[in-house]
Amino acid sequence: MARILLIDDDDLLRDTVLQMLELDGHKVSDAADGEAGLKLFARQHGGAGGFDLVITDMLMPGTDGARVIVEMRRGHPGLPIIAISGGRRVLSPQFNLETATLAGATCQLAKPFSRHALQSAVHQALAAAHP
Amino acid sequence: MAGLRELDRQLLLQLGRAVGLSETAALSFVERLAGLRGLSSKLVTYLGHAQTQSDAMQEGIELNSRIIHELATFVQTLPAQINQERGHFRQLVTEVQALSALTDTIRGIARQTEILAINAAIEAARAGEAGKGFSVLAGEVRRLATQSNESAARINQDISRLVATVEQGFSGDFAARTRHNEAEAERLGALTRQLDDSYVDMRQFYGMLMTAVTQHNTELDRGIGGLLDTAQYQDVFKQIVDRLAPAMHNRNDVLGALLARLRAGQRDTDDIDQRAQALATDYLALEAAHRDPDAAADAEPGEPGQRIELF
Repeated sequence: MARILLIDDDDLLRDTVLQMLELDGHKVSDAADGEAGLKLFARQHGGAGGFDLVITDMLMPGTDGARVIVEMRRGHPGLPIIAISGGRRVLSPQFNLETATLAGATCQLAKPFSRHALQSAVHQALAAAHP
Repeated sequence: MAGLRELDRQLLLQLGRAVGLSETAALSFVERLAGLRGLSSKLVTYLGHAQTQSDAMQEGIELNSRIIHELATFVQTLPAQINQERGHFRQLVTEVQALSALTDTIRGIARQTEILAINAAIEAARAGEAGKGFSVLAGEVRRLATQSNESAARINQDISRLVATVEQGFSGDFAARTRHNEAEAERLGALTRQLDDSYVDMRQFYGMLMTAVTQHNTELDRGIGGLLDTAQYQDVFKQIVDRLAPAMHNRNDVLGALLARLRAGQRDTDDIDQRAQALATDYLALEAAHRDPDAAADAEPGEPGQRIELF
């Protein structure tokens, strides 16, 4: 079981992913945008309620996923981070996920994704942090 | 000759250390360069994809400029249409005012007819004796009747025109124009939302691009810093060689003295050996003074770390 911070501005998707993760026994906290996610992370990380893994959307109003990854990486280089993205009218998910890689994400998932794909990504990210 | 052997051993040891250091530095240099090349290649690939995204956005911008042009055209035609509608209204008002004037005429005729009727009644009282008066009245009534007919005809024509104006202004064309304007407004509304989407896309694109490239440059910077650290070992190598050179020179002096003594048939060379031993001790002390105490802790036994004296 891992303590996971989930950041996504899409309420429906966030709720769906949260339930998928909880079904797998993870303890999940969520935030509806990048700034709220960073605040929650700063408040809890490092203490007893610190996170083992962060899952963040890339395209969000205000603080986007790339900024979230860079900010979190700055203080926590070993923190596993999964980037998720579905793209927008012009911006493709592939480009957004490449941006995530360059910013420092551990692995990526293009939306929509299956529960199995999510489980694999979580496993891969946690394994990368604790080889 | 133990002192001379010790001096040679120390010199060879340092030469070996210098070569080892040079090889390690070269390997590290190559590894770091490969790492930098990987980072650079990753960035080039990423920027290539960013270019593709940017091209797609450029197409969006061209579409957006068409949308803005269409919006401008639509807004420009609106005042002309409004003026046209206003013209129809003005014409309608004029027609109604004309009808109002005719109503006044008819009202005047009615008043005069009433007076005539009263006069006719008075004249009737005098019937028989004043037939001429009736004749005049009859003529007047005929004239009024003619006027009334003319007015009625004009009213009829005006009403026809009014109906035509109303039909033209408010029926078919007007409804069609209204429907067209509504459809156009709806279409342009959708395009405006598209415009907003494109703006949000572009803002997110450049925001993420800047964040990712800045982060990547930080990694490149770190890599280049590491490379510079490695390059500094070249200086360490030079320092070792610089210390070895006078030591070798002194060694040659000792060997020269030894050979001269042996050629002279003298067997007592202890003082020369002591000199070689002193040179070995001095050289060892000199090297020890240039060793890094931190690195020494991690070094293999007998291989104290080398102090890095920067340029």
